[in-house]
Amino acid sequence: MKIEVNQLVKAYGEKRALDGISFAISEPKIYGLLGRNGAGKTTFMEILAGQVPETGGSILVEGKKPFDNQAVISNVCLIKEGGNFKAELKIKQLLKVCSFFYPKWDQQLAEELIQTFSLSLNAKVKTLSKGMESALGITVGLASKAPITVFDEPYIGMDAAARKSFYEILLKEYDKAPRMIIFSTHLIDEAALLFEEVLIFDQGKLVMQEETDRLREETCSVTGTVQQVEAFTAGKKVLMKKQLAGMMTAYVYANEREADACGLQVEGIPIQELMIYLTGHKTEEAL
Amino acid sequence: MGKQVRGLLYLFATDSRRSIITFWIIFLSTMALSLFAAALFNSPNMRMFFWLPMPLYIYCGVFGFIMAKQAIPFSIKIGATRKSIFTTVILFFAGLAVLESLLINCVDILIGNLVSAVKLTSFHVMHPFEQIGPNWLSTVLIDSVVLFFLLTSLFAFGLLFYRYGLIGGGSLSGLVLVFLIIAGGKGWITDFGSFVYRTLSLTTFLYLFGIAIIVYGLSWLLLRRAAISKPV
Repeated sequence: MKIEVNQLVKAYGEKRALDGISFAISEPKIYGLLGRNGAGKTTFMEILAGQVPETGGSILVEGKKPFDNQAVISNVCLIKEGGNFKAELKIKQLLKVCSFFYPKWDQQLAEELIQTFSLSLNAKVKTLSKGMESALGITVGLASKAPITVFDEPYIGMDAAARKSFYEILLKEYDKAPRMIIFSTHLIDEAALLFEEVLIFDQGKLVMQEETDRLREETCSVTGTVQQVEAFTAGKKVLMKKQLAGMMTAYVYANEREADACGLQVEGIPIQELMIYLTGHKTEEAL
Repeated sequence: MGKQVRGLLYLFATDSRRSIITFWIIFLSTMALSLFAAALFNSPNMRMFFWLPMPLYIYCGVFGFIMAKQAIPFSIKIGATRKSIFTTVILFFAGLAVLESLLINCVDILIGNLVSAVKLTSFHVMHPFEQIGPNWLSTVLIDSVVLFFLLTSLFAFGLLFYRYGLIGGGSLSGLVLVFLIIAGGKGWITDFGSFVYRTLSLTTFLYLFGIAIIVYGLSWLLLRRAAISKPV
């Protein structure tokens, strides 16, 4: 499945939730879709799932527009943080409904996951706690086996153990049947290891699209004396600098080996930190 | 599209079951209570009239209106196309109208027989269109058409609120209200009402069915670009 996004715009009145975003993704990978609140992540996911039409530009899945296009939307399953399901339905009824809409629906997996998350098939959606409803969303998302599965903060209300279990199940299912999983979360540190590629949105624009391995190779945190760090970062793109008692730490686009050779203390930059500084408008240029 | 339509029919039927059962429980309980009261105070000086399908007409109108708000977002979220929703809603409404009409007319027969059996002279079951229905089947047909009209037209009205919110829906409601006040003041409504009453026949309900189809067809203009919640 190939997703091509070209100058995509979504406006609500004067406000532009998406402001000319362009990128393409095609491989079955786990993509981290990151950004601060209001960055346009959910809007993008809704457009991708054909739930809302775009205002301008285009989004094509295998060359086709998703809005009201069964050929596309039957291959996309979007699970959001809440309000995914009708409150009056029982879980078993919901699973049956899903089986009509997702061509690759795996009922056996759905029932296994229902057991794993200790849900009852006869329970109504409205009786579920927030965490249980999230578990149901995850179950539907994984059992849909949709070639494009999109999770938007899927584990609201789930405790740490349940989230860990979710990550393990996600990886297991992804390993068994690789597909394009787009994962948006604010618990970036927790989920960072899952991501194979990261897209960062800020104020309706794409500020970064990079493979995580490459990101780890090309960025690092360097610490040393102010003179050492200033000398090393000269001419390089710096995301952040902080200074304390004659020592300086900088997040910089540079190779770790190169920094190491300069006698600096080198560490990787957590993706969460990258996101914060890329979307916090605190780059050196901005400062 | 066939599989989506089947899925949506299953969804609508499952989701509506509780509401429909609740209505019938309340309706039948009220009927039973009324019958009991009529039997208790049975006297030649007392008359109790029950316009049998009226509560059902009101229920179906409300059902159609709410359906727009409740069924569309989830159907879109689950991956249904607008065409599938449009097709399924009309099929569901047609089925529901016929089923409800059959039920209400069966209740009519049951109550009629019961009232005769116990010689309950003070209790009268009435039907707003009883003078034109030559037989039971035609009354079923008439009720089906009226219910179908109410379901589809109120669905279209609900869709207007869904797409354009309180401002859009409220503005149209205001315009309709102003028109009704003017029409009432000029006597157009009473003229039209008496004209319809004079010419009321099975053909009238054929026209009503046609109007329902046209109104529902027009609702496609609102549905075809409907999004999950935010106005487009």
